[in-house]
Amino acid sequence: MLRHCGRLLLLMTACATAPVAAQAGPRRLVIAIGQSVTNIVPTLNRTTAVAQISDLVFLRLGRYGGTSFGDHAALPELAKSWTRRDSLTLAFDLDPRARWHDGTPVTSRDVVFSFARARDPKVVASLAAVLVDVVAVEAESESRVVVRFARAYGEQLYDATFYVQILPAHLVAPIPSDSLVSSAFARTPVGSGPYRWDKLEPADYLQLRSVPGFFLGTPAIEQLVWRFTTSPESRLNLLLSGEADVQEDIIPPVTNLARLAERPALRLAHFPSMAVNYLLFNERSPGDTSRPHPIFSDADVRRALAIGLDRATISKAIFGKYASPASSPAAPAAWFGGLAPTPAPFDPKQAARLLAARGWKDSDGDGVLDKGGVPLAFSLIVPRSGVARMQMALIVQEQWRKLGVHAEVVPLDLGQYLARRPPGNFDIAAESYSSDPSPWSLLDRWGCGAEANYGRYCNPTADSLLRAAHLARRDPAPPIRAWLRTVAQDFPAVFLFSPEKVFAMPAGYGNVTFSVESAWQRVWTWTLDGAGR
Amino acid sequence: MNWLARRALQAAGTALIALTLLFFLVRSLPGDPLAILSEDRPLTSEQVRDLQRRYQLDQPLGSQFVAFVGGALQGDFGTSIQYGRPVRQLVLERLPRTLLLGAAVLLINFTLGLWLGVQQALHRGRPIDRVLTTLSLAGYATPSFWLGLMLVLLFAVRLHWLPAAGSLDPGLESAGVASVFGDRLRHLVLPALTLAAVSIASSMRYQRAAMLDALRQPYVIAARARGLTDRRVVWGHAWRSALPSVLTLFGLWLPILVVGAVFVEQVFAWQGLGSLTAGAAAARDYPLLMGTAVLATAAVVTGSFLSDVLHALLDPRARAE
Repeated sequence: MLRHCGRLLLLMTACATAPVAAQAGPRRLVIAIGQSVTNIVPTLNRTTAVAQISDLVFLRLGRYGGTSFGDHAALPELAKSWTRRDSLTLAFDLDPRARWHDGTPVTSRDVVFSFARARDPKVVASLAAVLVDVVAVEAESESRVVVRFARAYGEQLYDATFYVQILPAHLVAPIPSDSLVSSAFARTPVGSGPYRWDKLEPADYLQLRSVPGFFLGTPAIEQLVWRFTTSPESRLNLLLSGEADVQEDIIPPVTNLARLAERPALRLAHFPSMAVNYLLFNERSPGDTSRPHPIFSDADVRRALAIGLDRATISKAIFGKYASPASSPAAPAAWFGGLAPTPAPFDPKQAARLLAARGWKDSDGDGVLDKGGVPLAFSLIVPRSGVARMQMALIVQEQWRKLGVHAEVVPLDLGQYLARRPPGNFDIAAESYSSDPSPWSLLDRWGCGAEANYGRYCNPTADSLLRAAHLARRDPAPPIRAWLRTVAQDFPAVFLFSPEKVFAMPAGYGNVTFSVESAWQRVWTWTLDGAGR
Repeated sequence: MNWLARRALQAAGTALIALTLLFFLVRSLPGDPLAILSEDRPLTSEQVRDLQRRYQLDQPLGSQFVAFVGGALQGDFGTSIQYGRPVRQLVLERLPRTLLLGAAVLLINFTLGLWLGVQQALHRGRPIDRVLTTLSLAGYATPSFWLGLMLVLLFAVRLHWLPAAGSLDPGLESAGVASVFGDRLRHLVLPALTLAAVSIASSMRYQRAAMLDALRQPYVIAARARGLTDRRVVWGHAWRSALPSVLTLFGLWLPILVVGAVFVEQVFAWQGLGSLTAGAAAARDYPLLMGTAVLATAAVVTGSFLSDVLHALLDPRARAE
């Protein structure tokens, strides 16, 4: 018996003689992520992981320049420069050095084709919707493209550069739109970015290889590997065992930070995100949106519930120091995030007074406030798969309990959670939303009658402020500031916090920068200061 | 032959009933299969109509069922809503990993497990029997995800002997066949050990009980009296007669080959059918869920059928019954 056990141990030791970590080879960065990716072709799939990886293969005319307004909203990428011809026209000059990974030059034909595809509502309706103001994209020469807009507004350059990744017309145009997903191009896409498609092992990993002589500079990291691991524990184990170099979204749980502290070779990199976590009030009655919600149609009750939460404590419990308080849908990382008002302070006494003033009292001594025999009780739906939101919901439940408010936490499968939102079949939903860098995109969630305005919040004054900001051609800040203040005062949601993106990675990489709108976009500019496999 | 045909018909009937029930149960789950496509941006009503048409969700339930059965008979389970790819393709991508893990576990359980069960029977009541009983039952009672995490912590994170997750190393794409094989094996060790540790108890206990029974039989006593060697008596006489009941167990275990193990797959990022099914259920991805359900049902029914057939082959009395 012991002899056999000994053999087993010997076998395991023999297995261990081969190094577990990747073999020596090209300088490679292995990134553990929580989503799996099947293809990275723009317009086919837009999960966060796909978008981030796709950004390294398919370039835009220009990349985000830190603001969505004005003619400095982009930095050169495929277009080396642009000029404004009039209030409705922008002309882009393509960089003559830009090449597709098959060696073909990037031309204005590719740009015209990509915009035509992006503006076709049959391809991606939501993309066509954001490009509604782009009325024509024409090739003036091989290297010059002219984009015409329906009206004069401040975000023209942003619209022309942020949303559309350029596809190779010579390869994609012959493929019918609805066959693209199953085409050879989708399996081995050809882009124009710093990395080219190398290999996909379905459900396991995706590998990109650097493009030598990339026209904006050769990447120092030769291979980028994304390992797909849905379990956060597995991702951390990959990192700690040395099989991955970088892990995205280290927290929650915040205890992971202590585990990482045991590994001096690893360091944390963090940067603000565009995400805001909030508790969305349904202002209409669940099941009958023609009637007001019996509790949350009252703005004072919403305000009381908001100031009755100690948001700093909740944020610290879930993300440690890696989150900042929020007072509005604008994340601090957004260029207009600084225009948001200071969050209303935690004030349970004032919250209790507000509720009492609205007639909510504990008349039967059961610990739950009531009014006219109806208890102040409601459900709080949470997607089961959202670790942070599940934690948040439980802490919120406890804090509200102290106020005499009963919130029943209802964890749901993601499909079930998402299905409850559009018909308004909920009281409060634990939401987390990453907006685009444009304030205009917030109208989708908070504008009267907008399709993604699941809480049915409506303030026409607020909408008109955002419209004014969108059309502003000089300084959009005043109407945006007024919009943020209005929304913060209306309490359509309890805006809790904006978590930071926290990455664990080995020390030794230089020039490490993460882009707010697409984390890995600048990885090709990283340097290897003694790091790398 | 009549018996075999009857049993095969029964298996087919069971599968059909199970799939019918599954089809309607899946569709009665709360949630909207298209909702997963609107996580960030809502779908327009035109998109919803298009998608409903594409996935036949605008058809009455009866028509959907007929279309599902028609497709399933041709091996076509439609397109996954979540992934936008053919279900068959997704299943075929994951199936090899699940088969590999399931086969490794079955191999351990029905070689080591049976051998240990025999040793227990031969040493009944002695310390080795008691130790093995305690260990196997402890394994049986241990949650697989916990055991998996502990093994990862020890062998991957602390000792760096074995990989922590995944089924292959991305760095080996240009390595030779032997290296790739060795790499696959290294990735297989921890998930297979975890699953085997929590499941080996049943094969050991079955084998022990069957052997104890066999060792008491007159023909075994007679064999000993004839002066046959211990090895011949145990493996040539007692074990052979104890085998049918254990083989029945093998048939019942067969589904693990196909269904996979969700928790272990998650802990080890072993991208098999278990995690694919769990994801499909959470997203209410009807086509994918039904595609994996067909496979699971087929495995359960086939396992049960094979177990009956094997039992009947080894013990003619079963056929007579």
